[in-house]
Amino acid sequence: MGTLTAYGKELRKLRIDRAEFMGVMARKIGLSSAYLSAIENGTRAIPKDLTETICTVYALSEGDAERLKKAEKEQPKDKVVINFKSLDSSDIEDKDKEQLKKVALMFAQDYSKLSTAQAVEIEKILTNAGGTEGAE
Amino acid sequence: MENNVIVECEPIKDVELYIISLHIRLATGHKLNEHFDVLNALEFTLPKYFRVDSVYTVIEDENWQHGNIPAVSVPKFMHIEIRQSVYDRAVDNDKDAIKAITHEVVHLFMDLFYTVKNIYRSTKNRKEAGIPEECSVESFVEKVTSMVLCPPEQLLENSYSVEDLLKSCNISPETLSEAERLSESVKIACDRKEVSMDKALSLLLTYVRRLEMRKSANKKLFSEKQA
Repeated sequence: MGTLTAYGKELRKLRIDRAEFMGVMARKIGLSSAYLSAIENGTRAIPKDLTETICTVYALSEGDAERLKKAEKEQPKDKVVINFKSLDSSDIEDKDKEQLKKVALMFAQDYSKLSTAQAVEIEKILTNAGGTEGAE
Repeated sequence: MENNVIVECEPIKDVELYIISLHIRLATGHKLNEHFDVLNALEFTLPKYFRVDSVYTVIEDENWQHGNIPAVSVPKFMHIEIRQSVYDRAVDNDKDAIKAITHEVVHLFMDLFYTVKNIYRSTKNRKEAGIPEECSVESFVEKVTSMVLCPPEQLLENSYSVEDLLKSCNISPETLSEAERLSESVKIACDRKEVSMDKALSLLLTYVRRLEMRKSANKKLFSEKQA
């Protein structure tokens, strides 16, 4: 939350230089604002050809294009990072934190062995467990 | 949502809320007679002000977990989550979407002026405890939002017609009425000298102290994340 990936920072810099909002950039490059937001936060993968599209649409200089391509290479791909630090700083009791970590690791290790029915069940559980802290 | 149960709760004076609205406008680089550009604040001024990479995330409507609420704030992390359809409407200058996002920006600041121990954040908790609506944080935030979008300075100038104000502030007639009522209330309080310079300064000092604490906490959190 509040942290951008290196790629997200490059896109933000592009917008600052052009005094442009994320929603406007998203429209220009043919993505939804939520998708672009997720890419910047590292929760969605960068679509193939996106960097090239951005270079073309914004007529990036060679230097800017290189920086963006470098940032794309640094973006984690095909993997999900589970950050236990946010769990550690939460108010949950220690024994419950350990239990949650254990479940997360077991899932990461064995998710490919699940049947479709089991995956659907887990999806239901996780959907019900969702929800973030927020003001009304 | 923090679940502090509060026993006593007093309404915050309109004039104090005015000081907060003034601070928000200045902190986001807006002059007193300037149209409040919330998207500009989200994108450019607020991350710099709070010293974070980003203050908002846009979430797809189908993944939105907060029912009909257009946006939510998480003041602890100086962050706002906005429903995609609402964000997109704000980009298209829709006044309701802009007001909804401004409301959440105000939450980020209000949380620094007043802790949740002083005011009710949750409508459910407030109702259960029998605390009146005028003591809810939502009610205070709505008032500040009206003054951020349509500052008393503009209203008291007399040179603007209602149509001018609705257009230049991009607000609904309801928001304008609320802003007009508040500007009168603030003017009366100032005329009667109900707010002293000491009070205003003490409010701002409390705010600055909390902001610095929050910034240090965030800095620590983000450096831990990066490590």
